[in-house]
Amino acid sequence: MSVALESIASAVGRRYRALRTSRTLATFCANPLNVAGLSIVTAITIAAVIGPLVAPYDPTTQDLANRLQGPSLAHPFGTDQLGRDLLSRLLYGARLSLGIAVAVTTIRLVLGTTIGLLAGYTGGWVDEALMRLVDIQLAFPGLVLALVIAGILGPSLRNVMLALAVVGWASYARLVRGTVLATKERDFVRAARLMNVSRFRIATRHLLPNVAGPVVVLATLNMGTVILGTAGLSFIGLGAQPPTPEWGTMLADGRHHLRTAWWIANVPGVAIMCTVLGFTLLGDGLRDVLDPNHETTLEKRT
Amino acid sequence: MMDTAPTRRQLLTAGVGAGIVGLAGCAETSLDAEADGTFTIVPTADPTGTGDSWDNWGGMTPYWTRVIEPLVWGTDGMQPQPWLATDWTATDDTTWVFDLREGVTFHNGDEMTADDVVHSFEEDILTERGDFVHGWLHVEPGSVDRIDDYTVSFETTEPFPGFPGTIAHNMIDIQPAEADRRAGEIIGTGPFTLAEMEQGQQLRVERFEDYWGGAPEPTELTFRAAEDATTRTDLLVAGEVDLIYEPATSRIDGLRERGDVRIETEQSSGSVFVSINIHREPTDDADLRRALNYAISQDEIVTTVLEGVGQPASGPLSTVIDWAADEELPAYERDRDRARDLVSQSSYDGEELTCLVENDMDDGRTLVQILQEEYEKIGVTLDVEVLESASLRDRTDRGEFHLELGTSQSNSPAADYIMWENFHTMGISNKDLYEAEGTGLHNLGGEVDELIETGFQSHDPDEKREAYVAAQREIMDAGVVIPLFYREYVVAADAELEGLDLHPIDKFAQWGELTRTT
Amino acid sequence: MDTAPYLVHRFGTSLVVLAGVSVVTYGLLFLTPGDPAEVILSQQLDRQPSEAEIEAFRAEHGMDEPVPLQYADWLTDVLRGDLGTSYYSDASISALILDALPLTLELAAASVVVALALAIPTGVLSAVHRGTAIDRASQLGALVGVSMPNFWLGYLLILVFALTLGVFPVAGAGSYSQLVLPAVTLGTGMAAVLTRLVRSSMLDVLDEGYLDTARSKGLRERIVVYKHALRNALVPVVTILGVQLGALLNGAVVIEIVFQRPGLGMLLVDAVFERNYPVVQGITLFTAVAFVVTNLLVDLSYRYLDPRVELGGDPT
Repeated sequence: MSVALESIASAVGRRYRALRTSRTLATFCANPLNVAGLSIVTAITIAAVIGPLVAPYDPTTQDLANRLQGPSLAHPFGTDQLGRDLLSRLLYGARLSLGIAVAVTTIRLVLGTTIGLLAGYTGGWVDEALMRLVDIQLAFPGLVLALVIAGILGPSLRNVMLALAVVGWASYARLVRGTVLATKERDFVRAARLMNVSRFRIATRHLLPNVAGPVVVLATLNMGTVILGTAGLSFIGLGAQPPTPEWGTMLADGRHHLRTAWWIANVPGVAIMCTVLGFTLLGDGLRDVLDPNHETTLEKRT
Repeated sequence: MMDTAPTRRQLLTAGVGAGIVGLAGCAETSLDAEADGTFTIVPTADPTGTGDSWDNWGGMTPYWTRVIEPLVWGTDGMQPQPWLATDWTATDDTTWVFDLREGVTFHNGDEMTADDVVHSFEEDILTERGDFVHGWLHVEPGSVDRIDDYTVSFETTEPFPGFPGTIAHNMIDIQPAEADRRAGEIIGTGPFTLAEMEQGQQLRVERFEDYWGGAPEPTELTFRAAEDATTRTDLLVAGEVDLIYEPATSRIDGLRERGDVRIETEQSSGSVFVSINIHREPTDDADLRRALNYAISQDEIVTTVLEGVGQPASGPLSTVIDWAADEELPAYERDRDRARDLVSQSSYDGEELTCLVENDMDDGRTLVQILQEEYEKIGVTLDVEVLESASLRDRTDRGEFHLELGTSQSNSPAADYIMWENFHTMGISNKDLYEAEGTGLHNLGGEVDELIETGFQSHDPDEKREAYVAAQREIMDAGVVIPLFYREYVVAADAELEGLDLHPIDKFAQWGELTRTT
Repeated sequence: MDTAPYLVHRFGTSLVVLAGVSVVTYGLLFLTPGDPAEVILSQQLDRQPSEAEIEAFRAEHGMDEPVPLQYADWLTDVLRGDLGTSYYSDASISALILDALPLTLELAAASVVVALALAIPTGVLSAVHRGTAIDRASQLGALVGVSMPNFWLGYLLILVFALTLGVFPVAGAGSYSQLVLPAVTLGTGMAAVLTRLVRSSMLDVLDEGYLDTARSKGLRERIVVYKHALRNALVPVVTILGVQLGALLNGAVVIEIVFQRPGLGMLLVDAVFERNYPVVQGITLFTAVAFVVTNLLVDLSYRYLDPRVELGGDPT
């Protein structure tokens, strides 16, 4: 595992150095949408990191005397049905919502990459079996299966994350396997094989760095879909338990006030929209840079 | 069970057929039928009765639609009122004799007689509905007998003075033997006949000209499904429907300001309270339970998140029930210092208390978060779990919770069963755990059981009241529940509508006088 | 690759996948915390069942047999077309699905129309003005819709078009006007993917030589673009619709709730909440099988739609 991480890190490092010197950075910056995506994601990440430090109020402290207050100096985004400061809830929620997306995406990525690597590198019946497993996962509409799993396990954030994780790994597996198959026959891998380098070492040192680019692109695009999936499950009633300031739950709770206190639903709604948009734009930009062959597609949104 | 059901092939063909009709039925239908005499009503539950079999009577929810009727109805004062039966007498401790109304015509043209009453009770109610009905009505199969064409007798399993009020319930209805409710064929005696049903969408009924109480004003009523309060409110505001039950709380103020909408509120037979599991640590400690009571301000809840709809409660029973205690009960005005003292006296040791609430309870998420915040202030940590009904029942059946926020409402004038089922050791909430582990949930046992039995079996209104009030006092003394508010329900309608006849039991509304002023 | 071996392989793998799908679907039941028999029975009885009752229930439903045998029984019934009956009514699950399906299909079809109506002009505009501000604005516009949680979009559309402007109904099903807002909500989400696809395949086609031939014949540029290029560019768009079926079903779950349409999604959510496991299994299996079969058909028809495609490549 540490070898794998190390090699990914070194690959990213190499790419970063290459990025600085080559035309890649220029390519990325040439499209303002890419820059916009990067800026949004950076902003959200900063909010998630320092949010709780700068939030003006406690996210769960109620103030019934000041409920449903519109945006003002004291409460820039207003207060909710229990008089809680919406800005503070949003800032605390950034960490939570982004954390969920990162965690789910990481599980998907690790699981999918491992399976894809194994399938692509081993070949034969192992490949065949693993790819059928991938087909089976892809046969279920993601949110439908996640809803069933989370519903049976019971409503909680942990179960939502679990459900979203197990319905999204297959696209990584398929992507990684494809890249591995293409890379496997390239000269440097053949050379390593002739030099009796161990299979594990070939996989981690030579194959993994080559799949890193497309996988990073897919993971970036995936962040958005996970956030939307969480919001959808929260709306159905399987999300976070009160008073957790998770964005999807805040949006779902606020919808009853859409006509009377628009900010309660629309503030987390816009936050979700911007975050998803940011990750999608960034993912598209990264694809131009890291995956020029456009091997990653995101036709199946969950 | 399945022998009367159609074969799978028949069902499949029927399904495909319905599918095609469904697609073909995409033609425009008039959204707001302005023709006089037709009204669209949106109740709180799906009128076509998807979901819980409790509420599903042959594909139609028995409530609201006034297609089928019971022998007894309820007055606005929650007293039994003659309906398909004109009179009843207890001939001994356990026998009730009912005189039937003559000249009542079923929707198929036949006259209702004692045979239909015996059939409905013996076959449909006592057999098909299952065992729970026996405990509820205190009648077992084989104890309903025809005396003559218009007289029927019932033998209860024990003295049960509340019997007439208990069978005044929409589900205890009379249908002839010919009605095959499983096939969706419903033949009632009510002022409206079932005309058309689209599963999960709407149900249409038409005026029954031969209704024994005289033909109703409306020619046609459509009951639409919209279980979400915001959707119901939107439907009314957009003019797609004429009358809705329970608009979203956040919208009530806005609706009041509109000239084209009238708002009616009616105190309901329901009340909202937190019931405490007194057989689980640490809520088995009465000091802690009292502390939880002292931490809450009912007034504040009603005036803020409920927008003034509802009355602050000091007991578990709606005050429309004539033996409900309110002022006689110990008052728990909010007093945080006292609450903190009680907490420190108690065995509470900083652990998390679990509070359950059902996910589709109106304002449930909001209320439970208020509890959470208030208890935080007295040093008690509350872990909230909003669950769907199945998980919730699972947890309460096992007693794996400390607090449960819920509504208790009587759908018949005799509300005895609220006391019995919640607080008597042999009531439905407590019986299983009592029998299995000698515990229960909300049962103090001993004297409270005796008082509930006395109230339950007493023919004398004063004696009954005295016993029940004493039981409620003990329950509140020991802090078994945290009363929040007596429910009021809201009906919002087109301002042109006249002749609304609401009832403390929201499901007892009559539509016979409904007209439109133009 | 020859057609015959390809077909055999394709059908073979589809069968394997379907078998796997059935195992997963059946296995869902075992995710329930606690003993399924006890959970089901306490639901049905509305109280805690006794040990004896649980035993009797297990025996009656073959739940005392080893799990593989139970699965085999279930699968045999399913293969005969019998998905079982709902716990709470005597309705057969096949009938429940077939009753709810038309509303969902109607919504899906209308959303595809909306998505295409949005995606084709936007994608073409984007491609023709490649690299310009128009291109970027179109791409961004297409992405905004897909970035919104669709229940939020649905409620906003109700607020604007049903309550403020009063042009479409709030909720319900049965008429065309009631279909508009849900279809727009669901279609907007799908439009982003399609726009991107129209744009890139337009770019591919625009780069091909024969357009120059067409242009040189003196036809006006616009007609060239729309007639020749678009027709060729739409081939991959049509084929991706099969893959999009899953996305449509995902969206339908939420949108049917928002707009009170008793379709497949609402049936599933109700069943999940009621723990009506046979219905949950039936719908899950049905959607997965529909997806596998649709994609098999799409794969096969691909060959006829676009003769340039060589069979046997990885579908992605």
